[in-house]
Amino acid sequence: MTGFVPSIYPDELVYSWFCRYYVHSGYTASKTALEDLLYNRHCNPSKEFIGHMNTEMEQVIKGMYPIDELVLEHTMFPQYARFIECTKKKDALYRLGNDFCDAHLLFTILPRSEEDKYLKYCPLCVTDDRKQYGEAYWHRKHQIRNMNVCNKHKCRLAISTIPAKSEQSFTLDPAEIVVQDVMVRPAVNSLEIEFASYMEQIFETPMDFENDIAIDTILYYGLKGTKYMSSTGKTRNTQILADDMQRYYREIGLNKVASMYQIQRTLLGSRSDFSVVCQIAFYLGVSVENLLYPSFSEKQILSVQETRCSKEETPEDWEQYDEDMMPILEKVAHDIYYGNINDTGRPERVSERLVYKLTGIPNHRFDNMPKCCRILSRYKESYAQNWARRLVWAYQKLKSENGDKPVFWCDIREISGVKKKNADVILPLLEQYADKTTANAIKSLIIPANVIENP
Amino acid sequence: MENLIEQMPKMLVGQELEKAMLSLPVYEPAICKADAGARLMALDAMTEIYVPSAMSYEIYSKIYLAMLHSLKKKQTKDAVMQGNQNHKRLQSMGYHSVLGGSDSFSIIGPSGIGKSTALAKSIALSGGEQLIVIKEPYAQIIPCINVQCPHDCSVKGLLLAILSQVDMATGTGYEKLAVKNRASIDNLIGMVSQVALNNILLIVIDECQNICRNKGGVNLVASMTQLINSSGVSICLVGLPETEMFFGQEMQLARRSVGLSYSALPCNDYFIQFCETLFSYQYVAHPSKLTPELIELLYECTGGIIAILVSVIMETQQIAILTGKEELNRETILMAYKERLKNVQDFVKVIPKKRNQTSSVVKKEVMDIQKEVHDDKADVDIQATTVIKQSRGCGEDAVKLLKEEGFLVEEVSV
Repeated sequence: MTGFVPSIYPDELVYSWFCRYYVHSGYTASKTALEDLLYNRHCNPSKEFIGHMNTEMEQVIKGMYPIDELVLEHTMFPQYARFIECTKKKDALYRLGNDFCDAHLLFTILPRSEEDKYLKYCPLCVTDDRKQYGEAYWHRKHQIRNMNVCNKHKCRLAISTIPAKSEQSFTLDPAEIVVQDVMVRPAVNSLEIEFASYMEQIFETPMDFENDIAIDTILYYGLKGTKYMSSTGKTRNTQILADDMQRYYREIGLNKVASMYQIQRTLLGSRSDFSVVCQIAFYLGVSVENLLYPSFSEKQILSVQETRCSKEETPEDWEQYDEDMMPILEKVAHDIYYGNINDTGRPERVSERLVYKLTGIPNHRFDNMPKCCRILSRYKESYAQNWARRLVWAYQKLKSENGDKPVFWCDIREISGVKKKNADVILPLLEQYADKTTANAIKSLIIPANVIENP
Repeated sequence: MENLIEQMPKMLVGQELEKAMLSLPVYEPAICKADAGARLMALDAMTEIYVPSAMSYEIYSKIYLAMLHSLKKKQTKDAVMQGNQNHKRLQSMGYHSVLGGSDSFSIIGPSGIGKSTALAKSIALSGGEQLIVIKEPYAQIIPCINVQCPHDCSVKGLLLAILSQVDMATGTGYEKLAVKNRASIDNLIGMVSQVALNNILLIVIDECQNICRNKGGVNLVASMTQLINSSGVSICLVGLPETEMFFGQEMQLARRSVGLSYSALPCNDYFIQFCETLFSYQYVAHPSKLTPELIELLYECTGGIIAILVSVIMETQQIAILTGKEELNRETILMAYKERLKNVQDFVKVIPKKRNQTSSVVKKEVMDIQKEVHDDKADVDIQATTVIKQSRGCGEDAVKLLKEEGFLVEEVSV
């Protein structure tokens, strides 16, 4: 049974609250305090969330504050859940507060940059806290990734020696014991201050569990009209955007600027990292209100979805898909090879591009379809081979249509599309596709008699 | 803070306090007609009698105000800072006191005058064992912890006893944790300081005279000083008069033991009233009236010690019932005093009746004064100063010489 649990301060991390519990309860070691806090000693608590508490402590905590309030106002939940889907948001909120689920199972938590590896604090906030409460504590908003400035005092945050990760050697390190008197460094870069303020506003705004407009839709309309999107809206110049953002944020001195891949994934809707979204939105000039409370019509939302291939069309079972496509591919390849796709009946070369076009299969899928690849390889031929086949077909066609009339090169050229300049590579292959008489007849049409007699 | 103070019971004064403290068991006059066995068993009810005195009221107000003072310090900024300092000391990171130790006091008096009973009554009326539970911050505040000073003045013993009391009141496991971790005395002091800071209003340490009787007493006092300085909790030291002498040795000890000091009752109105109360609980077959002679006899037998007075009356009634005398009179009282209270006789010191004095005078020794008549009239005019000068010159006892000269001598202790 716990005898004393202090009150939680405004904007205090739950981890910091537990540290102060450890201080004021008279424990000699943080390990002993953790044994009283945790479900069992193998549970790793979290510095950014709550962790798996034991039943007794859970009852005491829930008796003091509603668990949802703790998660929303005293953990880093707004950072990780701000831009995810509403259903996932609600599920994460419930599971963090009631099942004490590991946050890694609920959100994408990216690796930290060097500057974000340790807990941060503002020296002036420490002074204010000591004056008001008698002790310092870890503020939540100072731990936002890429946050380097205290918006209240407009000074740079100091970096402590306490790891921000919830690693195996987890200890309770109270801010009052850890923070040292450091020189206050005012923030001079106005853009840096503005960006920090922007992130803080987004972080602190109450979470919206109803509005389910995806972040990529919001950013799409942020890109629209800029040089980073074509006028049709179907093409994004992500590389240029990434390069410009790199230059822009390097000037500010941001710890970790979003990479091209991260920007791309975010714009396509498959990622929604808080820092990346803030960087893109701030760079594009999207206001906080538009970012958090967008209003788009159904038509506008659908038009964004039409600009990209939906991930839902990707087959889930490639083996089955490969198996199903084999007969279709066989027929298409056969038709191409033997000229059934043309009105004239001219045989074509079986290429992947032509197969994708005729079958409607999205590009590059054959990389995952080995059986279909084997079918294609059976119809594989070089350009020379194809030209030779065409010449034979053209000669035989004209012969059958003209009867006894002579066949001229210009007629063969017209229907086969083969040029005389490639004769060197074609002539040796003619006998693979026709008998000797036909081959010689074609040769005589391509090469004048005096050249044949004197090769 | 207002919520915390509201949770304490209202402070009682005057008649309200007297009524709350007064404890008189039920008495049926018809019991005198019952058989001896029944009367002897009913006699036990006399142990429940409690009549509050000025001492009781003083102790109550001191206890209540100490708890209130301690409560006002809880959850203040200074308390938070003190908690952090205590933690730093536990981690060997340096320490400086924030709250200070001005809230300790003592209740000193001889055995049997009713200190512990008055204390228990006062604590019960001030909240007693009723926990003050607050939600934010979550805390279970114990109004009073009562521990006994260990017979061997063991610091660890005292600190573990405090933790044990806290555990019993709140259901926590501090003592078990301290024992499991084999906490050193310094760590224990830190732990108890934090627990006291958050969860205790007043610590009463009884039997403090053990400090004087054991060579470890100095250590214990030093540890208690440390505890007082780092917990901000009120500490009440209860003990016999010899404790006063011990605390009077050093200024810092004296400062922390400022408080109430009592002696045995004089033969005053309260004593007479108490005797009357006791006499109203007679279980003998022939109840008698209380006379001034009996009052004087009772005072001489008890020396104003309430516990002995109750014992005398009870033993007298027992003897009266058992011997068949069935009466409370001089004979039975003296019989009980001589036969049943032999061991206390040497410790009883009678205080003479007050005669228009503003301060009570403790008589050290009652001398048998005999008036000597000198035939030689010339010696009548010898002044006392002359005799004293003479005694100084001879190196003799001045009192003896004065008596020889016929002076009436009365020795007093100052």
